[in-house]
Amino acid sequence: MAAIQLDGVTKRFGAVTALQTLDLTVERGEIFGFLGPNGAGKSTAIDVLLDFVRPDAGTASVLGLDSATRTVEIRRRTGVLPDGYAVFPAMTGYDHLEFAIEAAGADEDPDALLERVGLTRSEAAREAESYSKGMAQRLTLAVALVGEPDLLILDEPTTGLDPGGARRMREIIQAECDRGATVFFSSHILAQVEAVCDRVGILRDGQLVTVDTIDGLRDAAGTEGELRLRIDGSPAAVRTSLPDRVSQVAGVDRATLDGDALVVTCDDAAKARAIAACLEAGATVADVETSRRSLEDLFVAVTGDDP
Amino acid sequence: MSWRLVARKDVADAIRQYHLHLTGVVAVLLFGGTAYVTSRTFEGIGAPPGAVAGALATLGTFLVPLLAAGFSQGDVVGMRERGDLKLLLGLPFARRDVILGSVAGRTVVVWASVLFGVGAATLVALARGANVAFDFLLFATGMIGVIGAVFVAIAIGISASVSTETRAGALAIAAYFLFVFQLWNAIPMAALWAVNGFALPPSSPTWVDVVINCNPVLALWNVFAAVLPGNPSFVARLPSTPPVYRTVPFAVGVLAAWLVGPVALGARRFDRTDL
Repeated sequence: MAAIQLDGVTKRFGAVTALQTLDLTVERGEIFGFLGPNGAGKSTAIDVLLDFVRPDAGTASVLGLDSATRTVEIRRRTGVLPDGYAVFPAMTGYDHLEFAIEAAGADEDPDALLERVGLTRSEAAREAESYSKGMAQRLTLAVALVGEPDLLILDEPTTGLDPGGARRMREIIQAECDRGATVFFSSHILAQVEAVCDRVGILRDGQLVTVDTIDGLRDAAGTEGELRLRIDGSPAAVRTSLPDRVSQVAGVDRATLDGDALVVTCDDAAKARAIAACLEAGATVADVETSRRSLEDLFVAVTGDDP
Repeated sequence: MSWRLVARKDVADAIRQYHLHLTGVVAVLLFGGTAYVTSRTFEGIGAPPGAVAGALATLGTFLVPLLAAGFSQGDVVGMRERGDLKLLLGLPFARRDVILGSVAGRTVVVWASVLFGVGAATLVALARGANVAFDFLLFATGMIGVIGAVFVAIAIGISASVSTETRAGALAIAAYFLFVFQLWNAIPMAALWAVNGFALPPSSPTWVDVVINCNPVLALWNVFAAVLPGNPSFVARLPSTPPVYRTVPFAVGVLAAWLVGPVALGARRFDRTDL
């Protein structure tokens, strides 16, 4: 039984189609990253899972339970960090946790939860309305962790967190997964997803464009890389001849001069041959920089968010 | 019974945000003041039994619906606009728990305010040596509590049905004037005028009076008229054999319908909406 299952979910808000026949399966025990640019429909998909919005077509189930009818049971077994939430007015951090613990029928120590998310006791004794965005995120994550949920649904969990907080968030996600929970979280920042996810789904205009493992995505991104050779010590004639010569090397896509450097786009395997061709031509290679096409590039390419 | 937890949070919110203090102080001042004026009016000549209760009932029918509606209209829609509704519904609550809990919580706060007010009024009346008929006083207090609950129900029903606090506020004020100031009467009269070929007949048919008496505030007054001897002076005296729509059972039915109907409709709409 899947932790999350969306079948042909369509949701329109007036003239805007937020989700277009979306199919998605998240298996139990995995960390699934839900990626997409702003406005791709990530939050709407999460809202459907939590029954905050009702789909126009299709069905959604969470932990094998129909999201439209078994809502309370789903919420009992799911920890939620929603999008666009506010903390309860006039309640302290402690009040929040005590209320959540009572609602979940759990028996947990608020202090332990606070420590996990990195809030101090004096912060927790303050009214949560006075919190910064990052502190509110920490508190809400603590609320989500109450009752050892089978599933965590986190909508943009690192929003407003400082780097330390973002790292702590990743560690908590990993720890919850190790405990046996499924973690489903959305983000528009690839690096966060890359660091912790088993699989990612990329959403664009309400449709899933890719679902794959991080390694699979890397393969899809291609093994093609870029080689940058500093050849400023070489004779001018040699330098001008290099683009033509190197382009002939097997596995090289193209080679161009960029000031003092020769920029070679090629397969990883062809990099050594490209350098050898330069040396053979009598060039002096002072320095070598090499880079691979990043997942970020792939993300931008897939979501069509090229600036 | 998750709605009880929501209700408890609602009451605690009212205390934390000093709403209970505010409504309590307003009730104490106005009920206490009314008791003072009444006992002063009858000073030396002795107040008839139920005079104090009647005066408090009069005040209560105007004040308590205002407190109840004003204090409740922003509840559900406020949570929705601010976003703490999403936090609440991330916990194991159904949307219905939120509605029922809000109605219960706000009703408790309104009742507490009424009790503070009537308690203060009783002390004032006793201190001034007025004749406090406790049976009438208790009855009047209970009925004021009922109309308070009805206006909480109406306001929460409105709050659950709309998407902005501004709309909820406007509709709650409209409901207050509609019922307390009898604008409600215009509805059956307009219908009569329309079905009669855009002219009013010399005498209105029974159904018009039935509809007029479906106003919860009028139902309350009909009950007062039947039970309180010194009933509020503005309430029309009942004929010796009142028509069915002005009897106590009919009034109780009307009040029950206004208690349940708006909440049921609001919950239904709230259940189907996108948050």
